[in-house]
Amino acid sequence: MILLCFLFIPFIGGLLSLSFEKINIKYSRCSALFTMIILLVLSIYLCYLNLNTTNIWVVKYRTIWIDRFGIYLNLAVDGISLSMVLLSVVLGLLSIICSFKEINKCIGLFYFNLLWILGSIIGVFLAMDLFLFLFFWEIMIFPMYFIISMWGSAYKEQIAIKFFIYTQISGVILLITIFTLVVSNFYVTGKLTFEYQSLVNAQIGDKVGVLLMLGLFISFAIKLPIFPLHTWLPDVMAKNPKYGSLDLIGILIKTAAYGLLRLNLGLFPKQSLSFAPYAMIVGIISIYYGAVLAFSQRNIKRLMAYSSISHMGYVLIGIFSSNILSLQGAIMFVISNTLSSAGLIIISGLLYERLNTFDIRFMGGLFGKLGAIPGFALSLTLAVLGLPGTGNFIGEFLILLGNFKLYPKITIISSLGLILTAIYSLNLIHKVYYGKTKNKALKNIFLNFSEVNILSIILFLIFISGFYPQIIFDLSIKSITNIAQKTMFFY
Amino acid sequence: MIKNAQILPISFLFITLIILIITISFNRKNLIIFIITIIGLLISLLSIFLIKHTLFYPLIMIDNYSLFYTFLILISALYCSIFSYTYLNKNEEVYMLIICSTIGAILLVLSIHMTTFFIGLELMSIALYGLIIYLRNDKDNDLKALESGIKYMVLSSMASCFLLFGMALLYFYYGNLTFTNYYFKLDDNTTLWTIIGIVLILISLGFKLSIIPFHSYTPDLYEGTMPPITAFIATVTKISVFVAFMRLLMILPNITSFLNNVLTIISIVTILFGNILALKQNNLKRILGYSSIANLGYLLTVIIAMQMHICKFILETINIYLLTYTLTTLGIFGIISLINNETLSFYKGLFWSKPDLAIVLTIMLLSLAGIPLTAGFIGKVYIFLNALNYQLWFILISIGIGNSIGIYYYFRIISFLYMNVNKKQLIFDLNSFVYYLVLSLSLFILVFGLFPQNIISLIRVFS
Amino acid sequence: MTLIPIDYVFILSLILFFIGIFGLLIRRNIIVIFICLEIMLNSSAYVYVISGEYWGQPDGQVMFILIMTVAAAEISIGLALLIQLQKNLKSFDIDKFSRLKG
Repeated sequence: MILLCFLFIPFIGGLLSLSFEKINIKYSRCSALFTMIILLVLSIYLCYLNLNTTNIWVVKYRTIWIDRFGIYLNLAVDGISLSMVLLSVVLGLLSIICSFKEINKCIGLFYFNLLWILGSIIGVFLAMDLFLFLFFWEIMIFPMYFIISMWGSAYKEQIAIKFFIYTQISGVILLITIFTLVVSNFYVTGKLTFEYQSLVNAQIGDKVGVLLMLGLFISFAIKLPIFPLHTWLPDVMAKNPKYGSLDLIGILIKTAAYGLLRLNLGLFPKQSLSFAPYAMIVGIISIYYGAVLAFSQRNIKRLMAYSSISHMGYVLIGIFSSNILSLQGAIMFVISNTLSSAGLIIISGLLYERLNTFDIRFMGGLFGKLGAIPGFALSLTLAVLGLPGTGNFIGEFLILLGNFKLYPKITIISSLGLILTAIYSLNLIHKVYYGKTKNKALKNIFLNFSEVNILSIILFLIFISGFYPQIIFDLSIKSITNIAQKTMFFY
Repeated sequence: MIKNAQILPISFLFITLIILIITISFNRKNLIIFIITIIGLLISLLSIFLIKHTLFYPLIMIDNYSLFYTFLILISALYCSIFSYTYLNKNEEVYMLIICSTIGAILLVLSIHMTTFFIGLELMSIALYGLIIYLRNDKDNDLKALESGIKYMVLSSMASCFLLFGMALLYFYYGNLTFTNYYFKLDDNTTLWTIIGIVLILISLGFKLSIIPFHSYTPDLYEGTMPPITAFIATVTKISVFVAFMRLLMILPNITSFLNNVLTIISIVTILFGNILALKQNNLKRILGYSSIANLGYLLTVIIAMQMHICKFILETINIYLLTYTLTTLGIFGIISLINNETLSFYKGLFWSKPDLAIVLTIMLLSLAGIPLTAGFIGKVYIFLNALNYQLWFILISIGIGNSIGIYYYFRIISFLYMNVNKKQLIFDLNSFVYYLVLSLSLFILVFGLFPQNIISLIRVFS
Repeated sequence: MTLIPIDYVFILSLILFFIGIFGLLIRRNIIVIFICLEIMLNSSAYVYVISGEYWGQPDGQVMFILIMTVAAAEISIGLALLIQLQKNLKSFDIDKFSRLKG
């Protein structure tokens, strides 16, 4: 029952803030904030429950929805989804606090869209029925489209359409794959069901299984994004409102990582393992390609986009090497990378407010001028490049360590990519904060209270995950062991 | 008491028609005529529930399947006459023509014999010509209506000629005009003439349902006619023709694999091009015209599946899909006739002047696009499952692509609705009947999308 | 007495049918278009009559009467349309209609 509440609270909150807009803007802001706080409290409570049980599934909820197709409203939460849910709730809270200042037009509609994105993302994480998964996966796209097309900057319409086409292709592939899986399971067992638990044991032929696994992989690779399918991300990031892109990095990418982990490894362990080397090669290409392009970018936001493409290569490698160490590393890396890039995106928004540009060439010599911004930026960039003491380091290290036993060559090549990461992030710091001051129209506005708070919360979380990563490991260890055991069986 | 309760709906409609004609010749009061029409339609709608048994005459067959479509046709006729009451002020003849056309459509749905089939088809179309060319004393609109009327009339009677000729050839070969007696296989000893006959019948199906090579009149027809009448064309004629052809094809010879391939290609082309052609349109009704073409393309895939192996699931798919399609189309045209403007730019920023209408229109468009939470999604799921079940892979992929293109242009309309522009207030009567009808339709679509189980099990009875 | 082979009947009616179709496609005058429609309807009516005779059933002739009735109704609507056309455009040429495009 708590899961059902958890699922519906953001949707209801969105409707409330839409309807409060007519009365008073403040009410709609407050209702959005209040919704997120309730969600945070609930998810912390779920974490508490998780630590006190030995079951893989912390809480379950199951009731029939559409009897005709064997579709159940089947919600369950385990360690992996719990850590993802916690992360998205925290990020959602931060983005709502940020948007208090930024968003001035159509406020109720903005919170409506934001909360619906959050709600459908939480739905994706909680759904244990593939139909439900698909349902939320599809819903997620539309509020995002509206946020880009209404609150974006120049050329927003074209960008929104580009985003839309890419994600829609991913959605259609996912839909066809899931339906094919269900129908082929129906042919074998004679039972029409969409439930994850019963499809895990489905007897699928090898050829069909490989095709289905590839379908899932492509569909998630578009959302991650991975090298040949990535071109939507830089455009969308560059033309987005800063809080929209915060959501993008933070949340949309994580759903794809979660999908890879849950569906690809969970449903097709054997086929995934035989596909793993190719997936890792794609990951390596992605790492190098993203890093090289990030080096040559002039727009901070595009740079962030390419850096996240590069980092997602590591996540892909971690997920597909599929042992306990690397899976934990992947989760850790997703969490801390999301946090650090969110922080950098916020900072680039703050810089835009002061310098009126995202272009690196017009920045420079900002250190010691803008109050606390350069300090925060430096520490967040160091976190992105994976300095020991931050969660990113732990994540990368575990991914590479876990992968080394199985694919040493791939590990060596991909770890060389870390050097490139260091180069482009230090280059960014150097060009933006050191050197001569190029921008005359510098507005020396100091950070206000809430911005300092947001950035320090992000930093605090990154350092927590860096110095005491056991918290996150404890959350997800049980379900990760379960998945890893299943794949180990096929080595 | 009544011996054959099964023909009550249609006979009530006949009685209404006669009363209408007499009343019009004595007393030309719009409101009175309207009330008589509504009462007649409601009575025949209610009389459907009296029917318990199936009826099997040589000319007509009344079973659950045809009753369901009678119900749908009556509902859409009811909605269309209400729309046209608010849209036009002095239009007594419209109701008469609507009732006439409805009788034809119902006859078409019930028919299992060539004569009833033909009479129903012609009764429906001839009354429709009158509706399409209904002049409003407005030069520009009148010319449009005339043009679309002539196009529709020539093409539709040509299609009936094709149908007649094909049926004549089949009649020569089998010596029977009833569909139910065509229990035959197309084997080696069938003559060339029979194949020509079947091809001609399929061509006329293409014209009547506006499948792609024969589609060119549809967008013009949609643009030229008044919104209430367009709603009528988009729902009643499409439903009845599709259902009647289903019945015909169910018992027609197994189409050879060559013809089946041709049908597959046609349906793929219809789905893709119907959606692609809609991309660049700037008139809402034209977009809906192309979207109806694409929707019938989706339904055509069901016919291809049916040629392979008939089962109850196919009928269920058709029922659900036509139900959702009808309700959604009615809702959209209701809004268009309420706002009374069809250019897309007029709808810019509708949300900021009339939020409730914009939200209702959004729900309808989402349902047409097949987005979760709405009824259209359930229909799309059925179509997908059907194509998967019969392993029609090319069709499956083209449905997927077509669906995404479709979502794109529906979203273009939706993003127009929410654009932030300053505009003058729209002036129309929100307390009109149509507003509440459209509101109830959108509620129904949402409920269907969220809790489909009850409605699905209800519809399974009828298939 | 030898009968005419039945295929000849079909060929004749098919020729009539195609005359109708081509006339409909080529000619621009609305009156001629209606005439072509009539030709098409009557060619199929011809097949009905012949095959009714072939099977010894009255059905073919019933269909023929139905077709005649319906054709009359259709043409009467068509003539009403024609009058409107003449009123609005002062011409019978349907190419003058070019409002709806896209």
